[in-house]
Amino acid sequence: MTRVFFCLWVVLSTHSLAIAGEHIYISGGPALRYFEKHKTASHDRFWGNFIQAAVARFQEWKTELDSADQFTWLIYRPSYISRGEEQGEDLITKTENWVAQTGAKIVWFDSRGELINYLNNGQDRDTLKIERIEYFGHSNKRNWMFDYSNRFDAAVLETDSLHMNQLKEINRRIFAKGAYCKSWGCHSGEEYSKMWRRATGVPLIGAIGKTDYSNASVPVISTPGGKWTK
Amino acid sequence: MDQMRISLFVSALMAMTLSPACTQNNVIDEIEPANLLAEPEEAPAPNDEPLGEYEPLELESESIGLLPVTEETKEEMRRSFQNQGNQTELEDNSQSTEINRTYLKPVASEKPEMTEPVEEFTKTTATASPTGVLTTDEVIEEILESEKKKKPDSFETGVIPQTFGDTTGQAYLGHRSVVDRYAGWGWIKKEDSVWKRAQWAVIEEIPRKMPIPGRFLGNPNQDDNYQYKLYGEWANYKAYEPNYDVYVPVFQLTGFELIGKRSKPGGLRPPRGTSMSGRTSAFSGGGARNNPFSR
Repeated sequence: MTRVFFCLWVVLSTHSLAIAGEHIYISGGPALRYFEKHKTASHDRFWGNFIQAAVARFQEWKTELDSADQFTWLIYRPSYISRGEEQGEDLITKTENWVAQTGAKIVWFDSRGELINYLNNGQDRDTLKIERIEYFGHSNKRNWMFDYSNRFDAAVLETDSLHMNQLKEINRRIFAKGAYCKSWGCHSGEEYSKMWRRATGVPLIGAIGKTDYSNASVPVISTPGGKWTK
Repeated sequence: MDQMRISLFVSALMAMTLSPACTQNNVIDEIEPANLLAEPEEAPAPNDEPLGEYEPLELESESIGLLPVTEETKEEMRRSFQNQGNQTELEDNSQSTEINRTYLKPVASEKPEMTEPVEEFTKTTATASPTGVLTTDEVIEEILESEKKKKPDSFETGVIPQTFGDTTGQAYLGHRSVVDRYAGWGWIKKEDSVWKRAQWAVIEEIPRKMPIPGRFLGNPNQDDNYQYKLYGEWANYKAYEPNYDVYVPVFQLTGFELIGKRSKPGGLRPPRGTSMSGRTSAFSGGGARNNPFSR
């Protein structure tokens, strides 16, 4: 009987080690009001759209976070610096204080290369697999754009987006079995999700239609007839 | 042996029940299961249809920059919010919080080969953050506050100056062209070149210091079909145009001279379709590369 309990203890211990994983948020940055203020459909009047929505979303799943898990929040830094300069505020510190409420570890990134570098190599991926990736930011059906209308008016620096044709740069082996991936950006379910799955082997839930961040909560699909898909 | 079998059975059972759950809070329609063994596809063939608007983010369509900060303004903004039922109540965040952040090392290439863990600088700061999930009112306050702090754009005089910035060095001719739902400034060519060799370009401005000419008018789209002598240089990077999934050249503006309104040069059409497909784009004759990642 003792041996049974011993085996059970070993199994439990091993299992608890095995399920430790990393939960990752990716937040793009806000546009500059300089570029957007005159537009009819004006983006990002609130600088913290992609933080607010993500914090609200965290309230929904935080009970799934195991004590052994890591929660890492990757945030595109240049946009928060330039928007902060525009507003006369230190949005880096403001963001850090805000994100700290979730207990997440903040990792600032400046380019797609740095983002992928972190995903592939930022942790020992043999022992710490990615259990979750959720993206909050600008997107169209083929691209995640971390920097929309910040450096250029209504456009993005080529190195500051993750196009679906670049998804193969992500190592397929970094994901845990059953990993949960979701893009809260617009239109991701129309093409991006399919390419994500082909590149990584993991489904990505994405929107068919636009998503709306303006409710100060978790984004919702705003296009009539739109839906989440993967 | 039986005990081992029992432990293995227990192990398998627990693996099934305790594996990380792929929790999905939303109704999902799986429309097209992907072939996981297949190689990633190239982008779909170019077409003339835009990828779709993506204006997901704001509260309402018109700028609030000119609105006075009144209770009426706030109330109007409150009404624009939807789905209030989803909102999480403000948490008590009065306690100090430890900030855990990391700066990544810059990487030299698009495909970084990292052999060591990222360098970490952990900063521990005692702060009393005011918010967890912001309430609607707090978001509105943030917006109004930022609008108040924003410096006025003093260059918006309503008149485009004859010359602005540094007008020395190589001059280019630029034809401002406003294309609905298409990012970019217009066509740029060398002075002694012909318009059919012009390139569609995104202009890199320095906000409030080196604006494109149209910003002097307040709305930068009001100088459609004006021509300018442009000074500056082509950048060694491109910009992604999100409506048509193309990568377009970037011109770094340092100065301009106003020429005046001119008719649109014939035969010019901004690039359509994806630049990732390898097909020749409309501006490839001007030296642009189809695949910005091939270099």
